[in-house]
Amino acid sequence: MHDPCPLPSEHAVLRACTEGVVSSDEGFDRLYSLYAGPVLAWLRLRVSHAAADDLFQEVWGIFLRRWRNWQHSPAMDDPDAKPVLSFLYRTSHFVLKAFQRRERVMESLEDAANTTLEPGAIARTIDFGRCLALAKKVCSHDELEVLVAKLAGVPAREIARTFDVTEAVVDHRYRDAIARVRRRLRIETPAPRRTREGHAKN
Amino acid sequence: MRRIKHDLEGQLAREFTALSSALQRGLRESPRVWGSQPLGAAAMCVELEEVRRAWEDLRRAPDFARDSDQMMTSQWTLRDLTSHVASWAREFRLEVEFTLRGQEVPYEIYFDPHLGPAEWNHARVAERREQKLNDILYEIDAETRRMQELVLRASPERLLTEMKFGPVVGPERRPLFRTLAELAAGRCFHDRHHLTRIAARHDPLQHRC
Repeated sequence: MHDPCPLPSEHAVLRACTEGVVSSDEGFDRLYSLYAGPVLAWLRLRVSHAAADDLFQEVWGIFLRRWRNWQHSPAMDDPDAKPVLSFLYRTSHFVLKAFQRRERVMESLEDAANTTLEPGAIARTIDFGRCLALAKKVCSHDELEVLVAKLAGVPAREIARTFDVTEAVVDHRYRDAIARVRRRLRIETPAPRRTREGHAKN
Repeated sequence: MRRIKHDLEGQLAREFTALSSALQRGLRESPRVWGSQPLGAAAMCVELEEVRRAWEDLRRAPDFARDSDQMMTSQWTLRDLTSHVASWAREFRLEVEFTLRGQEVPYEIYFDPHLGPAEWNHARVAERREQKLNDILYEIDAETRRMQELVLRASPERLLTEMKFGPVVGPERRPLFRTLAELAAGRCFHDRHHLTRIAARHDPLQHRC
């Protein structure tokens, strides 16, 4: 599978903290520099701008609490492990789940015409880039969860555990998401017509 | 556009990276300055997930089931100790269910001031003595997932409202009042306490306890 992860390794930060080269606070700040963007991107692809910002604080608040009691183990040194990114991913998963539960309760209590999950509203507040916006529009909930995780470099094993499915299912959902976006791209951008001389004509 | 169609995965990755970088640039202060926040439902679920995964790792560890009759305390085998955790996992979940229904727990679990709930503990372990270790571990897994669902279902106010729970302490049978959040945290603490002991004998668990 194509590895889209463009991010530098978290292992250097963890190692520096374990060896006492940097303080725990500095280590936390470095991890924040590394992963705050992807975490906020995950959330903004799923909920409204304002809600995402609140949930973002919750995710990092939970991680901060965890970080203060972080215990490193040799298993975490596996280059594929990415324990911090994995923790942030499953924390985001639960934070989103709790948020969506609260939203459903609120919607049942009042007529929430202005739901925060309305895709158009999200698209108006942030520019995702054309393909990401299409993915947001055409992928199912499960496919989008897997897609954004894969784009951020979350290990497939971690995605599988978070959703209690096999890695094969994760791969299947990822492939389905890509196929959906590809199909929609074909519909929205038909191949250029050719003239008799063989030149492209728009 | 043809290039995008050809390398859609690469294009999605580039767009995600661009989005992440743009968002990252907009963030200034470290979350360390926000200060500590009260434990919400999601935080509790994350804690519960950590212990659930620790038990899952244990279940998958090679040779673990083979050691089920190994003595862990002067009285309890590994299976007994796991049964003890399972019985409290079930009890915590039952008490949370009563709380969410707005009911007090309609029975008492006696805690001796020195011995704790020894009688209750031994009775619950005895109930599971015929079960296989794997089945007991699956019970813990199922109870943890149910607890997560219950916590997610609770309103933020309910999570932080003190309720009377099942345990009563000493001859005067003093009731214990706890919030649902404390109960969930107590469940995790109890699991970790026993996982630590088991982990000392099973390396795969070391990183989670």
